[in-house]
Amino acid sequence: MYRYDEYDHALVRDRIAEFRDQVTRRLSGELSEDEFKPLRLMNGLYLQLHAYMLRVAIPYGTLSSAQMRRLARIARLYDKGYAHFTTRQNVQYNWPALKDVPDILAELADVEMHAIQTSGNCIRNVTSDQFAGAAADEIADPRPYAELIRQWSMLHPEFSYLPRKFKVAVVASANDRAAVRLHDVGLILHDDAEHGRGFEVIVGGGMGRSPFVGPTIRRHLPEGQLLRYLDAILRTYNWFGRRDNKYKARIKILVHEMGAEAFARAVEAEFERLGDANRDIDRLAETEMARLQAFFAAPAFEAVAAEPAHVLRAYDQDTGFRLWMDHNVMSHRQPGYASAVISLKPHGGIPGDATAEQMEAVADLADRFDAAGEIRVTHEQNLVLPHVKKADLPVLFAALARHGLATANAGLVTDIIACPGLDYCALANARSIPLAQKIAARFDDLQRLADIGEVKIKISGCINACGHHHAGHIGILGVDKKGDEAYQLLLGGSGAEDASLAQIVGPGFSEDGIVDAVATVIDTYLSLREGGERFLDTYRRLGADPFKEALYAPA
Amino acid sequence: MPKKKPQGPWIVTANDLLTGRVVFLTAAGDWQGEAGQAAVAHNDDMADYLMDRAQADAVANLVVEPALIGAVLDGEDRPRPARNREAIRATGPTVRRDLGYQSAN
Repeated sequence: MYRYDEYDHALVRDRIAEFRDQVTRRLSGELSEDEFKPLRLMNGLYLQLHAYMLRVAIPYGTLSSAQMRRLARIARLYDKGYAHFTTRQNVQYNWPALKDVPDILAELADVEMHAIQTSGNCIRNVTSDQFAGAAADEIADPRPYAELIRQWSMLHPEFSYLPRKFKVAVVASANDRAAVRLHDVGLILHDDAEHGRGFEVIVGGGMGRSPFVGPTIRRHLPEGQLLRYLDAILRTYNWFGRRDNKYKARIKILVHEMGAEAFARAVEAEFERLGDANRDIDRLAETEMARLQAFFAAPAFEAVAAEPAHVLRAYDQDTGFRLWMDHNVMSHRQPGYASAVISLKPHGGIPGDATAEQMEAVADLADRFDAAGEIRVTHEQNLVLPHVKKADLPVLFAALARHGLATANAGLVTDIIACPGLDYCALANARSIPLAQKIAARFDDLQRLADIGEVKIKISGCINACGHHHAGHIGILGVDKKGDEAYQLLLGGSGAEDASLAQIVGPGFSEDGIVDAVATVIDTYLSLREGGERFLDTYRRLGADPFKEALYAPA
Repeated sequence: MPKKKPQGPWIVTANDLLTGRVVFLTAAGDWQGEAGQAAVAHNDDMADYLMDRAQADAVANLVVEPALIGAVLDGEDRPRPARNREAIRATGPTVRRDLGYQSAN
């Protein structure tokens, strides 16, 4: 993984010293809250429903074991013994005291982490495929490109005050595991004989109150021109993006209102202009990419048995292990290795939460079982050990189970994305987490979950859609109905390569009613599915009508 | 545009600057963590007075983001927030009863 050089270290340390001074001035009264608020937000510090909340960046979701241990230490020393992994592959602390935040940032800097650009109208943490460098289907590891974008965007003076926040995702396989079509900019790496290696560039996707599946504005961008093209996109957005209305300021609105073709023409014109004046950026990108690739070299894989006999025996004899293998273990490009998804969705738990003890256990297991000693955070709020020898999987499963981390539900009904909702968030209209817990209780049978198959349920507590309800096979949106929590049900979304936006099926439900509604939708699917159809396949084949009928027809 | 004033009676809440903790303005003029100890305004004049006090404490850097919220009174005239959002804010996450202000932590 990437390691800081002297410039990175100096930049982050300088920023901490600056923020420490700002906090001191705030506490002394020299800075008012109006003056301090934008400064704290630039350092990832929000004031949420109950307390301050600190959001820490995890670039493209990659963590070392030492970094995970430090996150656990911060949770224990400065928070309430736990942390929350987010849909942006970041981590949040819900209870830090303002006076402690500079010390927390110093602790993070010790392990080459920070909270810069985790808030504000700037380019946020670049996200990517949680199986990067491990996936059997990838063209190349997308993380060097993500790191290049991270460095380019870090404190970029031209792009620090954009009309609104800006989110970039990069993948390098045909299977989209980072929801690239639902980002401000999505990049898909292609490599073909005719064009060579380059990116499909998608702009103007997003969720929130105005959801869009982003259109492709460039089919093939040579990889060496990536930064120049991103400069052109950001300049076009910075120039034309609206600043008069917060709700119309995201690039998706600009692309929608200009039209994708007109927007693409404006970007191409700026791209050419930058090319005439400033081809140095292409050379810089190529030179830096060559340097960055070395940080992401594959770990030293061993030549091991592709299918160890004792693992096959355990698979046949232990139902729990078999279910975990079937759903939480992913194929790896290296024979004899696999990637293991560590579910942070125990039934009855809080999606994305991990205790300090669990984080330390995961760090220890990464050291013991992962060839790179790495952990990944997924946008679905789980963790991954990317490079595990298949021979070690039974022992890993048992160790995870001892820490409540072996729930065999990855991609299944109870692997629910849920935003913090009204339990934590100052913006929310309704709670999300209790719904996830009630749905998990309703489907608390791992074999039944396996029989139902892939269903992605995503819950947001308000229209801002942090829980990605627009991209849920089954989406749930919390609303305020005259002071009471109520929930709308949406069906048919996808954040994958077949991206689509879920549609509201009809009148909303109460808290208990929405759980019954989800059960009704699942039962209807089971009664209608053909062959090996997933829920989404059945929905797309039949449309919403049979589900509406089951949900709303008089008994 | 200023937020619409909720229906009375009212209490005043804010966050403690140093810790971020949710606090309520009491009749004694200090800030406490329990909504039940909050001073209750039954009319507009009293509500304005409490908010003026709170704004002064915000300027004095004791609290941040003071707000007037609707309250309901129990049988002993102790207030609690009227809206669900404020009730959750006053006590803590409903999914972690071991945390937040409802716990001893």
